[in-house]
Amino acid sequence: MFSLTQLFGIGLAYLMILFGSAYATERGIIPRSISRHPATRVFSLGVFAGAIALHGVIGFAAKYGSSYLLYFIGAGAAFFLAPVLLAPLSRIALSHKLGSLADVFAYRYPAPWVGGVISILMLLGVLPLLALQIHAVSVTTHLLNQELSEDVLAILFCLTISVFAILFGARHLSTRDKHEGLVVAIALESIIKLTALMFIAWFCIYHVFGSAGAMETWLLENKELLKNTEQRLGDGASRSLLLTFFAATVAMPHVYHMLITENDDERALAGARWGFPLYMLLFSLCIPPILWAAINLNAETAAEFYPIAIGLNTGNEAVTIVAFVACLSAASGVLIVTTLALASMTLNHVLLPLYRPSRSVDIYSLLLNSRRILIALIILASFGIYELLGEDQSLMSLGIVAFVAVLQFLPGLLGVFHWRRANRTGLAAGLIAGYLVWFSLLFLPLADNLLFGSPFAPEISERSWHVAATLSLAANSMMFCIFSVLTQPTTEEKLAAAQCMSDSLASSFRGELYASSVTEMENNLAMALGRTASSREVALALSELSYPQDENRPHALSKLRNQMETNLSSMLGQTIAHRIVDRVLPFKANSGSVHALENYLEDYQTQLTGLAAELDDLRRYHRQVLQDLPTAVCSIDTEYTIRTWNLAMQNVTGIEAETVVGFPVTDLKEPWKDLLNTFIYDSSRHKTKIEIVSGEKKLVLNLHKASVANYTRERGDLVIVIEDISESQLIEEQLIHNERLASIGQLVAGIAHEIGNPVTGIACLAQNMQLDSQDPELLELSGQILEQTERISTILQTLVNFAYGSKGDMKRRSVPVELYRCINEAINLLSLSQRETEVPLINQCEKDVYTLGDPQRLSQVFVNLLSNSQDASKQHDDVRITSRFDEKSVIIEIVDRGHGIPSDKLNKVFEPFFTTKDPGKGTGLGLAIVSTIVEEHHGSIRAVPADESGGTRIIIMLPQYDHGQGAPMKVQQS
Amino acid sequence: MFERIIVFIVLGIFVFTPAVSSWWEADFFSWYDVYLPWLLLILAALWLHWRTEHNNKLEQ
Repeated sequence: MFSLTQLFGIGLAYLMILFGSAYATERGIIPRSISRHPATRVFSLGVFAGAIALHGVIGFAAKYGSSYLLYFIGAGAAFFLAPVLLAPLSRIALSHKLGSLADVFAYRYPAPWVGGVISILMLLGVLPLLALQIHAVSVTTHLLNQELSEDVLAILFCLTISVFAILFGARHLSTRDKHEGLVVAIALESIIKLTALMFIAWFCIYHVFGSAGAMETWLLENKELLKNTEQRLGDGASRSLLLTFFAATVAMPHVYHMLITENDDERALAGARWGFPLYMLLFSLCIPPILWAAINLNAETAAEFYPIAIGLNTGNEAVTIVAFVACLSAASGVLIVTTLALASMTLNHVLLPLYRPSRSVDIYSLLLNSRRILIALIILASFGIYELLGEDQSLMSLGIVAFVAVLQFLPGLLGVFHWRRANRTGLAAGLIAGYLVWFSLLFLPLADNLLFGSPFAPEISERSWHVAATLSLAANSMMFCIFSVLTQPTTEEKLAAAQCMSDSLASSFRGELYASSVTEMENNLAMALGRTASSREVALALSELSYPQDENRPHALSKLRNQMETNLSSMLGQTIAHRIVDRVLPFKANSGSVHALENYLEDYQTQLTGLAAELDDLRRYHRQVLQDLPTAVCSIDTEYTIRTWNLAMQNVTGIEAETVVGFPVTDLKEPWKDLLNTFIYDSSRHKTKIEIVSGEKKLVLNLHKASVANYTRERGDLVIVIEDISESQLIEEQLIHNERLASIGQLVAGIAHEIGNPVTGIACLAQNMQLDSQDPELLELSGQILEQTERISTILQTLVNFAYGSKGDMKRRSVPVELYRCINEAINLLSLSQRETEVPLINQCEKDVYTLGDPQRLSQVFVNLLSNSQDASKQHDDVRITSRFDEKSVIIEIVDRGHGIPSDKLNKVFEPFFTTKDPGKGTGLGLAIVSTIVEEHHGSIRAVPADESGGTRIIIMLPQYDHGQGAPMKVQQS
Repeated sequence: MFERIIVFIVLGIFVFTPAVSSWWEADFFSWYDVYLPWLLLILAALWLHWRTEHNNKLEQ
């Protein structure tokens, strides 16, 4: 036996560990990797295994043998069959923040009374379940110490649990604030009770029986005894119980609370599909050894309390304490979580619709305090039921009364996700029929037993469970179906059904709001919630959607409204939130546009199934085609708001779609605003070669427009196609230019041919002069004439080659050319002109640097370049020629200090017939020929400004010739 | 496909619950044999979960 102090000490220590874990989680001491781990979520669902799983089931097993498994199999099946009910329930509830089953019903069957009725029925049905938790703890404690009566122990237990529930479950107002501390505490509680039960089972096998084999032997020896004590549960009863436990797992408020309300991740359910059945399997594995060990020990307590009896009968204090903690753990978990869930449900669906607080009241504090009071009241009511129960009924009987009550929600719940025609009239009819049967066959006998103690009152037996469960469910389903078929669902119900079934393109989207700005929405909401709450809710919704404060796009405002309704529904319940938002933020009649609907559908992509999903895929395909079209397309609606802005449009304009879609055309930046505005009002459907400057780019555009009228409207949206023809325009201009060049080239070739003949004559005469004369001066002059005529011939040949696009015969004429010498020759030639004396040419190139090529043509390059530099230079300015090297090239730079070339013309100086010289002073062919020759020598040439003070730097890059077969090439000395 | 099989098996269990119960009480089975089909069902659900997670990762 234990003293009261010891028991309170153990109980308090256990609860403090639970408090501690919740507190540590809320303070961040327990990392989020643990608190949000899928395993923690799965263990928190172990809350389902309350006093029934620990005590009631053993009593049931003692009476009905293996039928106790129905409880665990039914619960596990709910998760195996998650796609049927739990998965759609979780999806809808998480996306719309439906914090309770009453919210789900109120959302699917929109009517002011639905949430309230569901809440009251749930409360009525679940109170016996809460009472039996109190009963289990008080009896267990009383078995260990008889100093205080069971009632006093029950009061103490209720008080402690109320404090914990208020402390950790109702600190935040909205269900959007998840109580991670509560989740961790409940998960810990589930681990403790499972471990405790496994420890007791292990003790039974290895200490009471001695070994697993000994237990098997005992079983064989006592098989007849066991069979004689057990009753047979009929087939029908088995099935109806299985269905009852299945429905209870789905609809019980504490399971819903841990699975959905305290959870914001839909994936948690995926882990629970195997995790929860495994938890149930381990739990149920422990039951038979405990039962048999207690029978073996001739335990005198009721079978339901065998876990504690094992410890008492063997005198093992550790087992007794563990059993006591397991009982405390199982009962407290169910009590806390169910009370929290029921308090929220009752507040949102029963109290708030009846009492409308004034706007001056701080709504947050009011709701929080109301919820705390409700928690205390519900635990008090449970205690009241416990007091009425006495010891007459078994725990399992009371549990089944509660489970059959919850079973009545199954038809309505199936209708939420699987029957479009289901409506609130059908729901009401079904619930009335089902609860009437439940009340008369289960609750009334219970109440009769309790209140009047009538010896004639029917007992709750196997037959009454079976009949009550089957009859109530049959009556409920039948009425639900008949009335749903006979009555028409309202428009709101049709929309809600489409939303819940997610296989319809019809949605709850209803177009544009009357409010046209965030501020207007905030002001409207303040009429219902008060200024502070309104500002807070608007700010929260804006931040969740990442919208700016000045958002005014119609579809964005519509989305903001939905977000605010969702947020409010997690605080006030679905019914009240819907009512408030509908009243203060109404939609315009018939304002839904296809664009806004499409926008809305984007959010529900993954929820569509069947034909709707296929149609949605087709829609997406067409949209993607439009998006990826290489032609710029935008559409503008009848209100002159931009609705489509594809990728090509973004590339052409440089404006992101997100910044313009939903905004009027007049909000575009220039020059697009002016361009599109003018074109929209223009009578012409096509405009060609419109030149605009966007940023630094000059664009040439073709514009086309078409009206997309449909049968519902006279005037449709406008689709504008923009063709960016800037590049093709440039190519066209280039083509014209080239054609001009080609014709001039032909002309030049003709002229060159004509000049060639007299030059040949001059060369012949000069040769004759050389042969006929011995005068050294004459000989030098004739030599120079020959050299110059040869140059003329070469130039003419180059000109002809250029005109015909020939590259010349480089291979035949390629010899190593020393660039220093080549440049010197060019300087010597230019020294004949008078400019050399005025503008000195200074050759600073390194010697012995070779390139492979034609010395004459390279000399021509330098003559042309140096001559140009001289022409550009002022008197007495010098022109310097320098060289440098890299690994394979030699770079010659000719730098003058002349007037320089304007930067916009730098790229054109090597084009044929381009000259900056005065008319008549240059042909524009010199540098073009230079460029051609350099390219023929596999080099490159470019012109850059010499420095900031002016002048031009011509940079020629030529391949360096490795003439020594292994001799090192020149490299830059650093 | 696999998901449907699981749903089918669970519905089968519902129909044959009484038979399963009798099976448990039959002489030629150990008391824990009834848990084996349950365990297999859990393993199937675990495999299904693993496969979904794996596919999701591949899609990402």
